[in-house]
Amino acid sequence: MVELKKVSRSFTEGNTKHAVLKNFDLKIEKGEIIILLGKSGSGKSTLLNIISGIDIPDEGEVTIAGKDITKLSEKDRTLVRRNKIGFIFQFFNLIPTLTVRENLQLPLELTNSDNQEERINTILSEVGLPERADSYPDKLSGGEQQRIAVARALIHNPDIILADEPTGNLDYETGLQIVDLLDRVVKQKGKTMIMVTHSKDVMGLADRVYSLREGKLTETKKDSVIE
Amino acid sequence: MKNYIIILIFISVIAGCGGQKNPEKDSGINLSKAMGKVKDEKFEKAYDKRKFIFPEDHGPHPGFRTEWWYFTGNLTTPDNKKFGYQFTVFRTALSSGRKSGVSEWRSDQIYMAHFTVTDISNGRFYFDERFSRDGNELAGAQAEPLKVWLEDWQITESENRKAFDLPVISIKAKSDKTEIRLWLESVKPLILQGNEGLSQKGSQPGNASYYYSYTNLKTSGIIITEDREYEVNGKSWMDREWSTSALSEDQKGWDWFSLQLDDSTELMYYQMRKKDGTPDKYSSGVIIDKAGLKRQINREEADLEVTESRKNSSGIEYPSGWNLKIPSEKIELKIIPAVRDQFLDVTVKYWEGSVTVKGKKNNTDISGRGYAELTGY
Amino acid sequence: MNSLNKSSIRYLLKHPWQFGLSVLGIAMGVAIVVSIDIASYSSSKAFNLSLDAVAGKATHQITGNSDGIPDSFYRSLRKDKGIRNIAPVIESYVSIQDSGRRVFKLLGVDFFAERPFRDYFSETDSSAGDVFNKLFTKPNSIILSGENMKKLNLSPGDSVKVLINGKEKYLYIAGFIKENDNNRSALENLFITDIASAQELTEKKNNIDYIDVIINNESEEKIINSLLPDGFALQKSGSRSQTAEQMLDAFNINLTSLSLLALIVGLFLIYNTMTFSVIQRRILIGTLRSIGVTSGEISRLILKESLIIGIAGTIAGFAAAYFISKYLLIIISRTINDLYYVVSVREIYISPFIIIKGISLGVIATLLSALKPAKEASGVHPRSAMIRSEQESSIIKKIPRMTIAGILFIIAGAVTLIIPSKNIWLSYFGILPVITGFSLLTPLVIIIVEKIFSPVYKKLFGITGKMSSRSILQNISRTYIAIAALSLAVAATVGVGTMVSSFRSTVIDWLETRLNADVFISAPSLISRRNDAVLNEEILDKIKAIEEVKDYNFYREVEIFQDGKRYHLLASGLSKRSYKGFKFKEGNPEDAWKSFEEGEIFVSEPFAYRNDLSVGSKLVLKTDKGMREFRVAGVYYDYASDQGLITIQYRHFKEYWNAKGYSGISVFVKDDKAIGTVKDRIQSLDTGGQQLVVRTYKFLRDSSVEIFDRTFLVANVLQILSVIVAFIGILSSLMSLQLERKRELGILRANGLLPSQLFLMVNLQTLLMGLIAGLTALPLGNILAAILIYIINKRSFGWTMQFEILPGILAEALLLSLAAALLAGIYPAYKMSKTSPANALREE
Repeated sequence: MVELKKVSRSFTEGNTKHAVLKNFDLKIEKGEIIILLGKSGSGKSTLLNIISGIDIPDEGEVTIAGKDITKLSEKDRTLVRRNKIGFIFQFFNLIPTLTVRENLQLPLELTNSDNQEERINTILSEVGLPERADSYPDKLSGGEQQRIAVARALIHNPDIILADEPTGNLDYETGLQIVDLLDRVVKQKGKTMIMVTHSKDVMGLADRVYSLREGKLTETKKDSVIE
Repeated sequence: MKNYIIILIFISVIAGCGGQKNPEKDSGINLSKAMGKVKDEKFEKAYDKRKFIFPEDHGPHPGFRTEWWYFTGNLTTPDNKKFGYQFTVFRTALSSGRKSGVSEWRSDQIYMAHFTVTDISNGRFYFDERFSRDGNELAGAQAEPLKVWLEDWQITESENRKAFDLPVISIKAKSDKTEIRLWLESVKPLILQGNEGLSQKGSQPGNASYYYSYTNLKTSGIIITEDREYEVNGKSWMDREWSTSALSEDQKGWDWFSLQLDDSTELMYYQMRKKDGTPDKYSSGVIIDKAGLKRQINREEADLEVTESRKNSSGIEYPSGWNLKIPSEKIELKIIPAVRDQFLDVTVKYWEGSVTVKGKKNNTDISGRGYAELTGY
Repeated sequence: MNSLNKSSIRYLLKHPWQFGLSVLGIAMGVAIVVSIDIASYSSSKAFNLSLDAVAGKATHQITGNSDGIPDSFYRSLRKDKGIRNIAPVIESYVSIQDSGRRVFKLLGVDFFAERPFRDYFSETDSSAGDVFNKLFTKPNSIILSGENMKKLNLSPGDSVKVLINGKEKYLYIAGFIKENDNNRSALENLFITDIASAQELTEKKNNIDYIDVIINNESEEKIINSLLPDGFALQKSGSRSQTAEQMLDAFNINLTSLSLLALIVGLFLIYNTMTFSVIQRRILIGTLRSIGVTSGEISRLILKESLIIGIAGTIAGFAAAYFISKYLLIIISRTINDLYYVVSVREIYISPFIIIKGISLGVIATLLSALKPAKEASGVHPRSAMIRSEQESSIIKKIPRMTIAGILFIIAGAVTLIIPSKNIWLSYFGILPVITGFSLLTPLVIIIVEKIFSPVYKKLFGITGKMSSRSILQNISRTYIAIAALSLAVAATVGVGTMVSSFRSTVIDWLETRLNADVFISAPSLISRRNDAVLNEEILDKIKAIEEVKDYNFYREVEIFQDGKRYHLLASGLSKRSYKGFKFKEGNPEDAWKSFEEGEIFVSEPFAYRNDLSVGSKLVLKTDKGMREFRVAGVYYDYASDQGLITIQYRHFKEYWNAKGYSGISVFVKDDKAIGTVKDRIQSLDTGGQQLVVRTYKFLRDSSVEIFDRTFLVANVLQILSVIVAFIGILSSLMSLQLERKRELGILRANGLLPSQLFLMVNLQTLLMGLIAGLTALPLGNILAAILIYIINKRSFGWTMQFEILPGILAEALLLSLAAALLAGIYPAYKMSKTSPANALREE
C-alpha cells in the first residue's frame, strides 16, 4: 500500500545541511496501522509530508497504491492526496467558515462522491455527533472538533489515513475518546493508518511501532513502549 | 375658380410642414374656420367693378390677399398622342401692411405652384407642388415684362410680340419625371368674367373677385415624360383672378369646367355645391363664340348631372362622368375624364384633370377637350 | 454553491471592514473614471446633438468665405440651376440676460426649403397657421420648444430681451413646438426663426452662413462642386462635429488620465486587501491543500473573491458616478464654453463604451491586481496546516531584488517617456512603470526610515515607541503596500498641483507681457477665451478720436474651415509698441517682424506643434480668393488657445479675406491717470446699440487668470477624489494590519499595557507610516509634475511652461500624508485599545 525505498530528505538551515531522512525504507501493507515515535525535529512530520505528497524526497521512491508519487506533478500528487489519503491534524484544522456538515461535505465534493448527504449522516453517527451537524467549528469543544476531523479524514473513503499527533492538543480523557474512535472507525474499516504521536495510550492500536532517530527507523516492540 | 382652395392650402401647408396629413382639412367646416381666422380688414376687396388696364393687371396685386395665374391645356403630338397639362402659380399675402425689415429675405408674399401633366395615351398622371416666398427673389410676379416664377418654374414673355393685350408666353416647369416647355399665343381677346370682371362669390359685399380669362391660346412646344420627349401642339386656357374673399358658411365645394369645343367656341361652367348637396345660386358659366364674344349662363339655364362616380386611390369618391345640358344654347354634352385618376395628392387634395367632351350642339355632333376641377369631396 | 465557495463568501462577510473598504476603494476609482467619461461624453454629445439638430438630414454643407454666402448665390442655385435639395441657414447664439445668461442657438431657416431637412412641425396645434404667419410678418419672431418656453417663463406673444453679437434685441415668441421623442434633444437648445429675421438680427447683410444640401449620388456632388466659386466648399455634414471632437481630444484625454490615477490607487487597495486575506488564511489554505485542494483551485478561489469585490465595487461605482458626473458636467461644460465652443448640457448621456470601459476597469483590473495575491495563495504550502501560526513570509530577503526591479521599472518608464512621439497614450503608459518602480522602492525606504526612527521613538516613547516603529518592519509585506498607496496618492496631488501652479505662473507671465495696452475693447462674447462677436469699423474711428488715446491695436479673428480642420486666424493691426509683447520661440524677432509686415504669418507654439511647422515652413490657407500659400516668419509663445493661432498683419489679411469689423481693440493712454477717463469715454460712445466690453489691463489680466483657474478646477476635484481613495486605502490597510495583531496586542494588554498606551502605540506607528509615505511622495510627485509639464502637456497641447518646485505644495503634501495616516489609524487604535485582552487572545 505504502512503500518508501531509499528515501533521503535534508533541509538547509543557514549554512548547515541537516539530513532528516537518510536512505530510508518502509513498507506498509493494506490495513496496517503504524505508529511513529520520535523527538520533535526527528523528521516525523517530514515523513508524513513525503507520504502524502506534500513534500518530495531528494532521493528515493515513494509508492502509494502502486504509483511512484515522486514522479508525479504537483497537481497529480494533490489529486492522489485528495482521493487516497485522509488527514488528521494536531490542531484539528476544520474550516472555520463552514459548518460541521459543510466541512464533511468538502472532501466529498472534491472527489465528486455520490450519496453525500447520506454519507455525512452516517459518519456523524459513527463519530457520535449527529446533533452538531449545523454548528460552526468554534462552537465545538476540542474533542468534538477532532472527532469531526476524524470524520472528515474518513468520509471520502480514502485508503490511507495520516494522523499527526491527533491527541496532542487534547486532555487525557478526550484523547482516550479519540483513540477509541480511531480504533472503531479506522481499524474496523481496515484502513491503513500512519500516525505520529507521543501518546502511549494510542499504542494499543498499532500493528507496528517505529522510532525515528537521526534519520533512521527502528522498529520498537509495542509492549516495551507501553511499559 | 380657385380662390377658396388657395386660402385653405396656405393655412395647411403651414400646419402640414411635417407632412402630417389631417383628414379634416378637406372638410368645409375647417375651411370656413380657417378663413375666419386670418381675416384682415386692411386688405383691398373687390367691392365694385374696375377698369382693367394692361399690361399692369397681368402683374401682381399685392393689396389683395390671393391671386393666381392659371394655365391648362390639351395638346397632341404629330402621331396623335394626347397630353393635358396644368400649371398654376398662386400668390397669397400674409399681411396687408408694408413689409418691415431690411433683409432681402423679408417677405409677406408667399407663392405656391402646381404643375401636372396627363399622359392620356399611356393613362399616366404626374403632379408636383412647390412653395416659396418672394424674398430673395426666389418667387415673384411682375407685369412688364411679364414674369411669374417660383424658382425655376417660370412664366415669361418669350417674344417681343403681343396678341390681344397678352404677350407670347413661355412656360417652363420641370419635375422628377416630367417637364414642359411651351409657347402660348392667344387667338381670341380676353373675356371679363362675371359682371364685367367682378365675379361675386357670396352675398356679402366684397366677397367677390376680379376675374378675366383667355379661353383660347394657341400652344406649341415640348413635353417630356419618363425621359421621352414629345413635340406637341394644341390649345390652352388661362385664368387670372385676384380677391380677398371669404367663404360662405354653407358652401362645400364646386365642380368647374373649361371646355374648348371643335367649332372654336369655348364653354366655362361652375357649380357651387352647398353642404346639403344642392347647387348654390352663385353657380354660373359663360359661352364664348368664334369671334370671342361671350354670353353669360346663369344657374337656372344649366343642368349638370353626375352620371358616374368612383373612388380614387386615396379612397375619396369623385364624380367621373357628367351630362351638361344648356337648353337655351341647345347644348347637350357628355363629359368624361381623359384619365380616371387625375387627383392631386398634395398639401390640399383636389381633382383637376383633362376631360373629353362629346355631344350635340344645335342638333349636330360636336366634340372637344377641356379641364375639370373638383373640390370639396 | 459548493463548500469552497461558501467558505470564501463567509470569510468576506466575516471581515466587513476589510472588504467593505476595498469595495469602496474600487467604487471610488470606477466612479471617478466613469463620471469623467460621462461628463465629457455628455458635453460632446450635447454639442453634436445641437449640430445634428441644425444639420437635420443634410448630407453636406456648402460653406462660403469669411463673410458667408451671398443671398444671390443661393438664389441662382434654385432659380437658375434648378437645384432643389438645398436650404439656407444662418446660425448664431443668443444669451438671455434675465435668465442666468442661458445661451441658445438661433437657427435662421427658410421654412419652405426645410421640409427635406428638418422636421419641426411634426406636432403642431391648430394655431400653426398663425405661428407661421407671425414668423414671416413679425420681425424677430421665433419658435422654441414648449419645455424651453415654460422654463423661461414665457408664453406665445411675449417678448424676451436677448444679447446677440453684443447687441440687445427683443425676440418675439410666435409659438412653440411640442416635444416628442424624436425632436426633444434637437430642440433642447434651439430658437428657430425665419431666415429674414436671422439676417436682420445678426446683421449679416445679404449673406447667409451656409447652405445645407442633400446629395444622393456622386453626379449631384459633381454638379454642385462645379457651381462653387473660389473659396466656397462642399463638405460632409459630419465634418463639423468631427472638428469639434478633435478640439476636445487632448482636453478629454487629460481628464481621463487624471481619473485613471484614482483607479490605480483603488487597485493598490485591492492588491492590499487580497494579499492580507491570503496571509490571514495561511493555515486554512494549508489545511485545504492537505486534504487535496489543488493550488489552481486555491488561486481561483482568491480570484473569485476579488471578482465579487470588483463587481460590487463597479456597481457601487456606477451609482456614484451618476451623481458625481452631474457636478463634473457643470465644471467641464463651463470649461468648454470658456475655451472651445458654446454648448449647454442639461442631460446625462451614457454610451455603451463608457459602460464597457467602466466594467473592464472595475472588474478586470481588480482581477489583475488580485493575480499576485492569488498566486501567493496557491503557493501556500500544505505544511502550513501542521503549524499553529506561521511567521509571515517576510519580504525582507526580497528587498534587494525589489529595489533593483524598481530601478529597472523607473528606467523602462523613462525610456518610454523619452521616445519622441505625439501619442499621448504612450506618454501616459510611460508613467505606469515609473509609479510601479517607486512602489517597489518603498520597502527600502521603510528600512532606512525605521533604522533612523527606531532609536528616536525609543528615546521619546520608551519601549512602546520602539515596538510601534519595529512592527512596521516586522509586517513590512503589508505595511509597504499601504505606504506605497498613500505615497502614490499624495504624489499625484503633488504632481498635478505643481503642474497647475507652474502652468499658472507661466500664463501670468505671458499675460503680463502680451497685454501691454491700457484699455481693451471687445463685443460681449459667449466663449470667454475668444471673441466671436464683431465690432463695426466706425467704433475704432470714434475711439481713435478720443483725445487721451495715444496709440491703438486692433484685430479681427476668423475661423477658417478647411480639410476637416478649423484654424483660427488673427488679423492684427498692431502698433509697433506692441511688438515686444510677442516672445518668439523660433525666429529672430527683427527678421520675423520685417517678414510679417511683408505679409508672412506668425503661428503660435501649439499651432506649430500640431501642424509640424517651423520658421520657413509654408502653410496653405483657404482665403476668400481661393487657396493661398503663406510662409511662417515666426513661432511665438501663446497660451490663449490649445488649438493654436495664426497671426497675419491686418493689411495683408484684407488682401485675401472679405471679413469686416474687428474682434477686439486695445488702446494706449497718454497718461496712466487718464485710464479711467478713457474707459468711461469709450463706454459712453454712441455705438448704435452695440454693447462694448471695456476692460482695463488689470481687469483683463485678472479675469484671464480666473478662466485659467476655472479650467483646472476639474483637476483639483479629481485630486481631492484620489486623496479620498488613498485615504480609504490606508484606512483599510491599517484596519486589517491592526486587527490582525489582535493576538499580539492582547498579549501586551495581558502583560499590563494600558489601553492609552496601546492607543498611543498604534498611532505612533501610523504616523510614522504617513511620514514614510510623505517622504517618498515628494520626489515622485515632482517627477510626475515634470512628466506632466515636459511630456504630457507638451505632447497634448504643444505648450512650453516653466517648471517650478513649490515648497508650499511639498509641505502641504507632507502634512496631507501625515494627517491621512493619523486619521486612518485612530479608529483601529481606538478599537484595539477597547478590546478586552481575553477576547483578543481567544481563538478565532
